[in-house]
Amino acid sequence: MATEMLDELKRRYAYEAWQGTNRLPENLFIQGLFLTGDELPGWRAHRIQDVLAAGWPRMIQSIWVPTQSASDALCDLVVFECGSRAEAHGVLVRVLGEFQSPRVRARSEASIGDVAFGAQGDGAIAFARANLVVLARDAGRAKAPIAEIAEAFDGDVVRKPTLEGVTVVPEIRRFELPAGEIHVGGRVVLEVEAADPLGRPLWHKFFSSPGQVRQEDDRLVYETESAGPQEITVYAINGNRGAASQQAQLTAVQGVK
Amino acid sequence: MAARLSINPEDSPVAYALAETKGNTITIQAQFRRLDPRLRAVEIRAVDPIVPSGNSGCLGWLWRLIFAILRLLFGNVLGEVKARRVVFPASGLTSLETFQLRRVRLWRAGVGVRATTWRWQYRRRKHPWTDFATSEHRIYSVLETPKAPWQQTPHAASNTQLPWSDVLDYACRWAVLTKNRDDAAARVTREVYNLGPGTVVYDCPGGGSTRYALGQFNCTAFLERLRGGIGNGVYVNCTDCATFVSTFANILGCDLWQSRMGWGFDLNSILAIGSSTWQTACGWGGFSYHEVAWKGACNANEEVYDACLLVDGDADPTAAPHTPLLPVNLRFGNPGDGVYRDRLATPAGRPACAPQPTTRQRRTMN
Repeated sequence: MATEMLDELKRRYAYEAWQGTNRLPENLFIQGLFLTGDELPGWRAHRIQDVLAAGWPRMIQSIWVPTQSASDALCDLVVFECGSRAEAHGVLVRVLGEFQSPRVRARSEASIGDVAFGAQGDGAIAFARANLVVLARDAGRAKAPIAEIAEAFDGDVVRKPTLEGVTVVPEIRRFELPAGEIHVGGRVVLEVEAADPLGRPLWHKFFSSPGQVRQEDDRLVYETESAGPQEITVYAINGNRGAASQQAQLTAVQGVK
Repeated sequence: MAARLSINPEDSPVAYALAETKGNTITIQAQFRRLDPRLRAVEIRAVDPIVPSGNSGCLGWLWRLIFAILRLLFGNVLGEVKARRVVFPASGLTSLETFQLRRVRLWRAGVGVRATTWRWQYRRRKHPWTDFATSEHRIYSVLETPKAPWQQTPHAASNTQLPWSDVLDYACRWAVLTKNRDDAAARVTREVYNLGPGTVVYDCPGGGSTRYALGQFNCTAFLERLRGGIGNGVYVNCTDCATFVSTFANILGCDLWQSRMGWGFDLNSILAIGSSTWQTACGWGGFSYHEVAWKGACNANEEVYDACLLVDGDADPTAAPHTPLLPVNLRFGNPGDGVYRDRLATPAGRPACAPQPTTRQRRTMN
């Protein structure tokens, strides 16, 4: 995107005021998200596509139809999976740059995303949550409850998976951090190996505190800005919402390694 | 000879670029199997089975006129397959044999999607011609070799940017009979605008956000929508329309880009795609940006094609009454020139409605 346009968008949407915002009590990082078509209560996916477009992070585009009524309501849900929360906030600005309306405003309620914007009339909501950017939009001739849908999807993203009730769950074979201590401002590489008993794909949620997990090239790293005990919990999740979790700790100390 | 054969035209599609083929003899290749081992060599040709009535008088003249029009729109533009001698090898199956075409009418007919039916005939020396097969072919005529994002190479299934016959079906029909880029692009623009309100409408509820061209052009979804399906839904914005126009025009050989203007400018009243109300885009007062299909360097001196809206085409575009004008091949211009920029933006908004040629692109398709 042209620098001039990006600067204008950052100014228009007060990027400096909200960049880096995290509304959760801990940090969350999502890796390898995929949709199965049952994420939105009352809706089923008509189409789900993984899109790799030049200059954009991995994108999941999906169109949803109501499960019950025969109305003309449609919902368009696009999810961008970014390498970090910081990157997601930059992508959110670019997504806002795809709105022709000058009347897209920040949404003040805390129930959707770390930061959220909406079109006048609730026909579209764009929000960032953790390292994801989500765009939920009305796409049919009958009105879809977009705020409700966005809230439901966001709730699903931040929820810690329940580890009971699903019989076939993944197995986390390895979740390792290097032994010893981490220096504040430094980072360590995370090694995660998980598999589904039926060979199905998995995605991961990482809850961490006080530091953050992020993608760096092809590897996951953990970095922290504060000293003391550090905790990371990984959840490996399959398409049936079967989940397994594992925890790792380390200590961060002041000083330069 | 092989048993009589007939296949549907859509199973045998072929596209010809008019500019690149003009003045050349068009050839085709065909393969034959003999069923009678006594046949060593035969003469083979294919003729057009549909011939105009030989009636004379006014009725005959009228029928021939109607026939000529129908053929120009839908019929055989490849003419006939010139007869040549084919020798069968011992296996009875020939290699791909090259034939020349004659009475080709491609270049006179211009852009189109048409069906050619050939009645294949053979004869032994001095014998009369005998029919042995009928083949049907869908013939796409485009102005020039398709331009980006369409690619001609590599010829592999993994190359999703090879020209899509599904897109040719629409583009060739929309621009039928046109013979130059400007006319073809204008027709495509008009057809896209005319998709409203039945197929698509401007995205007022969603703030005019990009639905089909976010990152890439979801051409599969757009085609689904064109066929009456769900696609990506009913709403579109200017980026979508610019992408529809340039992608569908470029498959015909036009050379358009998607490019933006901005940032943040007030609008004159417009008639957005699918809308019947003259207003400043959903009543917002302005656009944060706007995007169109644009020629060349996408600057103030180049022409635009805007399928997203009608502007006021009269002497005063800032006030009613409004004279609807679809911006096709309309120079972008500078403030005060009285062309596209002045018609779209208010006098105060015109300086901010500036070409942004660094945004020029041709989105790839998925």
